[in-house]
Amino acid sequence: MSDKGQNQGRKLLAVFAHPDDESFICGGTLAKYAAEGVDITLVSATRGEMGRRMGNPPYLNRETIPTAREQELKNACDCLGIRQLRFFDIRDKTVEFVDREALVARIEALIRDLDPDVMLTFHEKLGGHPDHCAIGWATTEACRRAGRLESLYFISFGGMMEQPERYGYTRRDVVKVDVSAHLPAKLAAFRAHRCQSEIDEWVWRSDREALSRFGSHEYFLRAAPAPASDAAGRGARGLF
Amino acid sequence: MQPIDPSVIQNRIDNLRDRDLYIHLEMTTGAYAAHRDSSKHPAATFISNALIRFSHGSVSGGGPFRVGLKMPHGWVYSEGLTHYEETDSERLIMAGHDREGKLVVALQLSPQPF
Repeated sequence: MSDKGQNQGRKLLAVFAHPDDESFICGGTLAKYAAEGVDITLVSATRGEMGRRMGNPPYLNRETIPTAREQELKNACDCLGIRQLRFFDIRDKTVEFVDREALVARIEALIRDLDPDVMLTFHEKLGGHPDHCAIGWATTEACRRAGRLESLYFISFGGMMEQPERYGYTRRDVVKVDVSAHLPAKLAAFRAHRCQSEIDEWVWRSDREALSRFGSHEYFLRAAPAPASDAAGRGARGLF
Repeated sequence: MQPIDPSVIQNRIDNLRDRDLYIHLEMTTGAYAAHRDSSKHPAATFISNALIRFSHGSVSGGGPFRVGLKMPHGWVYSEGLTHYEETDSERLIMAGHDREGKLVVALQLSPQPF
């Protein structure tokens, strides 16, 4: 999957909850596909305005943080090669409380409009944060209604899907993406989310030291069972 | 944000007395607390843009600070405040941050909705 332009003309839609989800969780994969020519649209449901990291000493407050995080996300998108960015303007922490039908309909309309080849979102139970689970549920439901579940993958944290059995999945449900060539872009995106990442000292050490903290692969769970062609446990190595 | 100077805060509280004000009041231990450590009990609560009015209010303590505002039928109380936004003259924006700079508590008052 390293040939430049191999995925030219393909489209990826990622629907996440907060600025930084795209970089901290699957920044390597997004950078990789962007570099291969994939047109990526990122939706951030909120602006992460209820985050607790305000700088130390604090230079942000509840009223200035939405704009700051929006700008940081724009910068991170530049680092990763994401060209389309949309906000749903939902208040941080309230994704699970908004009108579910309206949210699903909004995502379904986006799917039908963009017609992406691949979609990414959070797993509705393994999301780790109520906003993640809520946007994951809504996106999954929207994919189901659009008849596109086979194009949907759930992002996962770090190496948790190296042992999918612990979560009730098998190796066949997992897609492993080699991001080793795109870790510098991922690191740049981490640093673009400055107010969130500056508390993590390792991010700001030398490039070499910081890059050594990243895994060489990112893992995704299939929303639909693997097609028969991927059988025999070979394990798919890409999302497209 | 600047570290709270109680005399400045007292002055600003006094200027907001007996007026309809929008309040943002929040306390949080962090949504990821339990994700990282299952022994943690994550708690967060906020109320945003509720309308209040207080007849008197004061700031207290030696830092972190406490603020109490007497309303016609009750109180607004907040403990753990460390910083305020010095560039905002219309609104009183205060927050309490832990040693890492993470927000723990916020108390904000404004004549206009936030």
